[in-house]
Amino acid sequence: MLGRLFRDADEKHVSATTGVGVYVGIKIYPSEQLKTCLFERDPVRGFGYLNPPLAETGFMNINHHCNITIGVPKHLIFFGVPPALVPPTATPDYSLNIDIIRSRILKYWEA
Amino acid sequence: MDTLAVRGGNGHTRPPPYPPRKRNKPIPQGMPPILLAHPLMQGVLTVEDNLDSRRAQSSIAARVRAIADRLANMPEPYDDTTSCHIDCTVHQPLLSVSLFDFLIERNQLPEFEGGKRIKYQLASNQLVVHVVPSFCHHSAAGSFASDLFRWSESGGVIDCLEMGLGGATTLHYRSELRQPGSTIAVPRSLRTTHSHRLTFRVPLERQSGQPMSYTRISVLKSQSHTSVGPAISRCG
Repeated sequence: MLGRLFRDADEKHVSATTGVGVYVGIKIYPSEQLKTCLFERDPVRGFGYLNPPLAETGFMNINHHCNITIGVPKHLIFFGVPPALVPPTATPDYSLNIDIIRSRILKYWEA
Repeated sequence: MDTLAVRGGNGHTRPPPYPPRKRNKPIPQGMPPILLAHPLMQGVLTVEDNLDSRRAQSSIAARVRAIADRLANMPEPYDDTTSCHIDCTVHQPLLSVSLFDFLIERNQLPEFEGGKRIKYQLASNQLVVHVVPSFCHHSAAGSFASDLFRWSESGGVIDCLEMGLGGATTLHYRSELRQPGSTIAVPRSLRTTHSHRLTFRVPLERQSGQPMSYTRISVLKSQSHTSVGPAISRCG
């Protein structure tokens, strides 16, 4: 069902021609459903996503509040940055609140 | 008599004005002959070639619009198992990397088609066209960008400032808010680029061990380019 998200992650975002370390894929369905995946670059091959994904949510209705948080590892966000130059943060990893995405989709939803 | 000889008005024949052309490359299937007739279409276009030829510019834009129009009018499938079979690649002319950067930076490629934003990609010197399905998709892509930036800068503050489509709102609003009823100076860039009502949330107080409370601020566009007073209401 998420073929295009996986395909885009493999061929575009974490392909061999990019330096992207982590990729958040959001799929919006016309049936007012939402699904989110978090991919990590394969550290062994150097390209492509690591299977299985770091996180994968189920179908969520955009009209209902959700209390889902995805933890994005900090070392993947600052992928390739020397450790001395990584800024200090309050939390060790970034907590991505899916409700932020859901509310924005609901705000600009077009039937 | 030569078949290319031209007969004049007085009945005399004269030699053709130029020797007949010899085509070395076969014409690909489905390619209009008018574009192949142009010498620039047979190689990789550079920035100089593009600037010299208005015909090349118009042909690229026409092909991009044709592909984008098909993509924009294609109904979105309900699942990903049914993939579209629209060829999103402009096979001719081939673009150099410098020309692609030039076209993107100068905004010389069509930006919208059918109310949908067009995205471009260069793959093997061929221009690949994509269309953002709707404004909803466009907005969702940048929905958590501000939250991520704030986490990387100060950390821990979640969903206290909402930016719409990369609006140039900055964190100095937080420092200017002292108490309910205080005025906020709207920068010139915000006044000129945003003509609609802007709404964003600013944390009013942070106390350890207690849930964070927010203040909702609505900033109206200032006609006289002066400070405007925010309407403040507490929320969750």
